[in-house]
Amino acid sequence: MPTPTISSLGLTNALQTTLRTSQLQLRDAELEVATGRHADVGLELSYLVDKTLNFRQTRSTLSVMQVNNESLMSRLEATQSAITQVSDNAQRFLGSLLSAMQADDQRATIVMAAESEMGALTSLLSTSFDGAYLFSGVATQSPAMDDYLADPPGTSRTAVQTAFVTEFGFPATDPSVATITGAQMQTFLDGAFDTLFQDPSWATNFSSASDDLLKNRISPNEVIETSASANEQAFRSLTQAYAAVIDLGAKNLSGEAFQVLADKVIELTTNGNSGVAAIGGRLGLAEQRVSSAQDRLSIQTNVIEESIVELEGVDAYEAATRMNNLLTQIEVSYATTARIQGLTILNYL
Amino acid sequence: MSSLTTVLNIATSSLSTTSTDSSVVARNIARAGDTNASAKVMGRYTTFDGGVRPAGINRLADAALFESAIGASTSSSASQARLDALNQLYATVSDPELELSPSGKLAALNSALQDYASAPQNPATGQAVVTAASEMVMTLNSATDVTRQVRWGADQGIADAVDSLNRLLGDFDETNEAIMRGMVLGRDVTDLLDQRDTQLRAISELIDIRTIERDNGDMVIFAGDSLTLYESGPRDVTFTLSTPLADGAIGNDVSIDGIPVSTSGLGNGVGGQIGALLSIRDETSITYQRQLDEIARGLIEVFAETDQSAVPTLPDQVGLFIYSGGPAVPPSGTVVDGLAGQISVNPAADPSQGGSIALLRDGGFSGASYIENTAANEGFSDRLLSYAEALSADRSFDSSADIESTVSVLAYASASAAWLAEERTVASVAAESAEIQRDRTNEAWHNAVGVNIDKEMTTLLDLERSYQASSRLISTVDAMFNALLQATG
Repeated sequence: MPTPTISSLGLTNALQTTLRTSQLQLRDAELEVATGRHADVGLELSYLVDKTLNFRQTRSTLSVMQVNNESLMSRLEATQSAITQVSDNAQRFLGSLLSAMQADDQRATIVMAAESEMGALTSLLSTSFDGAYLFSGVATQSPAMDDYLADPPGTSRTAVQTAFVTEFGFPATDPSVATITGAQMQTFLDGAFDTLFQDPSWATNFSSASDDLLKNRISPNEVIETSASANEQAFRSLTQAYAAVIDLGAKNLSGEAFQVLADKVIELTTNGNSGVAAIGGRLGLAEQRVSSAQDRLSIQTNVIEESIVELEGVDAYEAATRMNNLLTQIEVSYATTARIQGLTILNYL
Repeated sequence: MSSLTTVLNIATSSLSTTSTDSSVVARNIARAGDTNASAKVMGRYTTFDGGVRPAGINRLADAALFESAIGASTSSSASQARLDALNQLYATVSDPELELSPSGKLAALNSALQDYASAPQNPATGQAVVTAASEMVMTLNSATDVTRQVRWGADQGIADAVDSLNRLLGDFDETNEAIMRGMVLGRDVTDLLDQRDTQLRAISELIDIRTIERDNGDMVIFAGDSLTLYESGPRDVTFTLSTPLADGAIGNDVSIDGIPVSTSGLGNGVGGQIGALLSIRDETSITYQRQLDEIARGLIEVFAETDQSAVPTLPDQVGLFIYSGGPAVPPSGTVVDGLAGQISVNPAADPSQGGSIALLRDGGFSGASYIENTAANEGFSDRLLSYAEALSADRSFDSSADIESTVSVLAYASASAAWLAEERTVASVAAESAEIQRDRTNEAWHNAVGVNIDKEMTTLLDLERSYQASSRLISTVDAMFNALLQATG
């Protein structure tokens, strides 16, 4: 076997390559200790970059949903509180109506009550939130209801008054309303008056709301309806009840006719009120779904955060240890190089 | 019969040989720091009268180690060139945390869309969608620019490499000629041989080579193992710049002696810098460009509009994203080369260009028949929700782009980044190991043939002794002659 040879240059340069590699590794280790992530995530993860990018996509979608759900919750609460008030008002009105039926001198009071409830209903159904009218369905650009009490009267009140004149030949303010019989009143209430609150008259005269409700994606797989429309039967019934008391001459009606009117109004208000409660229930369910979606979203976000850290992160302890080892190694390399440089035969000749 | 004169002759020959040898030692020591230099050794022979003469100067050589050092430098420069190009391309993906990649921008667009869908009446959320869409488009456009630059850079790099290859072959020719002449005349050609080795190393960085040595030190170089690169004279290596290099189009080939290297059976075996640059220009960056183009096409498709009439008759048309081939939607599943460079946001959706973002919510970029929200209701979110769904819905992509062909646009964008990341990691590992191998083989070669100063110094001590002894011989013989002359005088 020939004696292995070594060139002087080979001897002095032996550590050069190792030293360069160590220094590169030291730079990476420094970065990793400082950031807690791989120095070059793409290089480290290779095709797994796919995973971390997908996680990040999902996380960004989820976090947007969480933020949106927060504001959706506030909107639902606003809707819910308007609905509760509508329902409370209807309940109160029903109470005053029942007491008014006991005494004739209470009729003026009940008309006033109806007017105030009508005003409240119109304004509640025109509640707006973040630039959107809550009860207008998808037609959020305009308030849901025509203002019934506007002066001069708007389309809704005019329609009611015209229908009355068409049916009886005189306006409701005329003293002749006392001549209307119970049967005549019944026919009007179940006929022409009822038609007013159905489409197409309802959409033309009373409401500019859309039947299509607002939809929201509350979690990756759930799109739910999150509003109520003024066009729903419950709100029509309440409007109809208040309008009946305001504009059908309640003050001057005969006892028989007033009884017919009052029965109809009680029926409408009761139906309307239970309808409103059903809407409230529906929205409450939506609130529940949003809140449980929020819980799931935050769990999912946490899981994704952890997965991202798991993929991109480094063990800080391991990185620190590695950095120390590299430092030691580089120091040894320096020391060795210096000694090798000093090792020359010239010193001994 | 030997005489004192013979002794004198022998001593004189020793003196002259020793000084020649010392000059060799001096040359060696002088070039101890030269990584390309081999150690020179002087041979000596004994003359008929017992004297000594220098027998020519040789160098230490190890052909096998030199061969593998050349091979290692070929693969190291090839993988380094590839890694450089991939690093440039990877800038379009960057650190996932920064969300600068097409995938990250797509996620931002998706989020903005979700936001708009939850508040469709709010123009500010709509504006955010336009902003996210513009950023998406800018990212695709600039990624296309980067890819084009890499392709053009590779093309220019090939041209430069071919230039230096021709120049190196010219230099090689001169050295080779000088070696042959020197060998015939019996001169010392060792330094020329070193020089030729250095030139071979430089050539091997550009292209994969094999060498054969013939009579009188003549050398033949083959590219790969089939094309002659040098034989009694350099062969012509030709290349014309491919600019303008169209997106998706393969560029000009490098020819040796009129034979194109890519079709000559060498294929990617061209090796070296030239081979790596050819593969970057014609394969890797074309594939990546196709992926970007497919992301762009996917986006156009996701936001395309369909005829909303009761009986639809009109074809689908582009919506939020447009391209120069619009308003028709590009055919599904077929790549349109360079689309990522052309895609832009429809000015009709951009309020800053006099457009209205409500078109995105309601439909109707291409006319009234395409309007879905005919009542212009501000709370209408169906269309926005369906766009967001379409972004995550599977669709078909061109299979020539090396990625699974039925995925969502979002997943496709991530898969594209992953494809590039993997190519880069593989190239980086290859470059690292090729570099280590190159360093190691060089080290081994240098250890085998390089100068060891300790050895030279001890040789010098020997020579000194030998010189002293020979000088003493001469003076002794001189004294003897003196004694003889005095005795006889």
